[in-house]
Amino acid sequence: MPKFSFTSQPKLRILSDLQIEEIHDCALRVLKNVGVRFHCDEALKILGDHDCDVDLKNKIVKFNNTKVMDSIRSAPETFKHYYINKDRFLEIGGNNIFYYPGSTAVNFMESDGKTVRSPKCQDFIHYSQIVQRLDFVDVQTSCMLLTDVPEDFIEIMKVYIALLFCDKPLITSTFKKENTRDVVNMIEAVSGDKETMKKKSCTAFIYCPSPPLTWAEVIVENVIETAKNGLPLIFVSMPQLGATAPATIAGCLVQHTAEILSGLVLAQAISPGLPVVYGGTPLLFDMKTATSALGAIETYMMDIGISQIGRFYGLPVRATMTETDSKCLDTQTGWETGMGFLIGTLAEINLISGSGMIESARCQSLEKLVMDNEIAGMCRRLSNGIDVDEDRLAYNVIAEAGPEGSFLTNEHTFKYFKKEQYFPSLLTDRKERAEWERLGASTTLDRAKDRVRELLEKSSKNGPYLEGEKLENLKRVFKEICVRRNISKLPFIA
Amino acid sequence: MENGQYVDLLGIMLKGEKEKLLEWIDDAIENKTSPEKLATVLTKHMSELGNVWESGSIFLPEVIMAVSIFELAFQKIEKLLPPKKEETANIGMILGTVEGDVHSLGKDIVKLVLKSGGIKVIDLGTNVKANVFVKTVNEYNIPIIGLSALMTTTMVKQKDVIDNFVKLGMREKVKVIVGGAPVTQEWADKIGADAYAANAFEALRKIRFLME
Repeated sequence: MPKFSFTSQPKLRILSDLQIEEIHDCALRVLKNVGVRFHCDEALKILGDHDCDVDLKNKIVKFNNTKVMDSIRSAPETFKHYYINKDRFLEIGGNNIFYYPGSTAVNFMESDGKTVRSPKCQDFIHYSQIVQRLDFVDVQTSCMLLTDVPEDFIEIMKVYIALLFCDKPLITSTFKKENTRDVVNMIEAVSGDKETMKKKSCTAFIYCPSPPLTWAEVIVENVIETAKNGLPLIFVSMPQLGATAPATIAGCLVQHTAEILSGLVLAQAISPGLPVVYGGTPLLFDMKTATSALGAIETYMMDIGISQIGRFYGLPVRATMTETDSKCLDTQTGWETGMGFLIGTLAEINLISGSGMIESARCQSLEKLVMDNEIAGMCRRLSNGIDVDEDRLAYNVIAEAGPEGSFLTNEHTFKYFKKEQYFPSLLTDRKERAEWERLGASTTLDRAKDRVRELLEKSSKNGPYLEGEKLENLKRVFKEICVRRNISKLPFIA
Repeated sequence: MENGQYVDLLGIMLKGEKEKLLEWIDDAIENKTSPEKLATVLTKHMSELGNVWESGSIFLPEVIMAVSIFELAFQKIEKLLPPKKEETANIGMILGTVEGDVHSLGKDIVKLVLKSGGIKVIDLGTNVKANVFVKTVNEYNIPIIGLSALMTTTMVKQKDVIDNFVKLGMREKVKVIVGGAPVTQEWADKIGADAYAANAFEALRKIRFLME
């Protein structure tokens, strides 16, 4: 994806080239004239040392156009996000689209698809084991706010479980410098050494500014710590239309762009060439209920905008798109999540977040996670497109069958049907009625519960996924962290 | 087989590995396995097809491929068996899509699955008039007929076929099974059919039941 070019725009566009330029120009004006507040002395110092105009008293940083443009040029167009155990990676950026679960859930949904409770370590282990086994959940996240470990220790515990039970590339976040350090120690333990950890990073860190135009101390401290360790950063701003951003979609995108770029300048100042993802969760603010809506069409419209603007900058893009504002696994959950998947895929967003999440990012549901895997499978098939070549045009096959002929018995069908079709799991019902009734007339939720149960049964036999030297290293480092922090009682220790 | 080693013959057929299956048969013959035993083993493996299909782990083109390879292999074995007295001795039923309907897909799938279950079929094709079913029943003396219809406009013809047998006083001579996208158990009951099958493997089960 070349920088400052329109050549990599997605299939689905909502902004014209001119409109992208207008948003970009306006964001540069905001950065230059209004500036962004950083509640962090170290960040102010770093930016001041790197050609930015810093007002120490008001903690405001103003960015000149050249600095911003150079920082965008300095960030890579793609990066390799490695698996924990295997020496393979996902290339984040370009036309690649990956689906992954949402961020921190304060609730965990019971299998009835309605009742919620506080997430516990065991829930997170189950979640990790299921993510490991789903074909269309490409990346894992430390997505639950665990309530059965000391508060200061949640971020450590989540990453420990994630590294143990799932091999997929990890996205996490930390809100304390000491925690970032310990999380990095654990990542280093599974990577082998510091150099490998940087070169083959299996973990990316996600951080959010606080709109409008502000970076909180607890956030920016950790941005600095992560950037110093050379690990990829994902910046996600969550401006809300008419509340923490202008009521106009264009204005909201301008502010969002300024916020992300301000973080990008800081990251590149600390670690030039560090991968930074242009992410976002801009939201509709519902003026009737005074809540922010993740499943609103305007939210999705802004996500398409993010994809276009991020691609204009030649950066990998990320958006929260497959969540819902519904509180239970109902039809609203289906339509909002399905639309988000579809729009995100057509808008070619590299990292599409939200699998398993409901209740406006507050709740993780294992049953929704397996349902979302079905939608993601369909969307991956969609993004693979239609192949047209001599053999696939099938002239000879059509001629052989002729009018009233059959294609079922043709070898051409045997050769291609698996390549051309995406096969959903048994969770998707395509049976005819009599057969469906014979098998118990199940609902989607019934089948999702079965699938969760089946995946967990398979997983429980296997125990932790991590093995060998990596497992021993991780256990050792984790134990050291526990001793240092005086943590003796945990609900789970592998 | 001779040395007691299990070979997944159905798996071989589902993968379309024709040569591998024929080779296995050649080896077995060379090792002095009787053709009767070979036929029994092959049929036994094939009889698992329905269960595997219903478990949702295989696909229709694989079923078709397996059936076509099974047929080929079976023909090879049959040549070694003593000849049957009559050509039509093993024919189990007559199958056809009713008058006015030119859809053959569903009927063809049923035919293939019946073959996999060792039931030979006279396929009258599509757009089959009621009197053609009567004529064929009389000619071959076959007691089961299967009527397929894809459209709500043509399913009424299933009733015509049954009524025609009633009119000719032949209803007791035949068992009628109906199927097709718009067809339901209620419809089958209403028109006085003996059985209804929602899909090909159910058809195989019910036809076996009718044959008893």
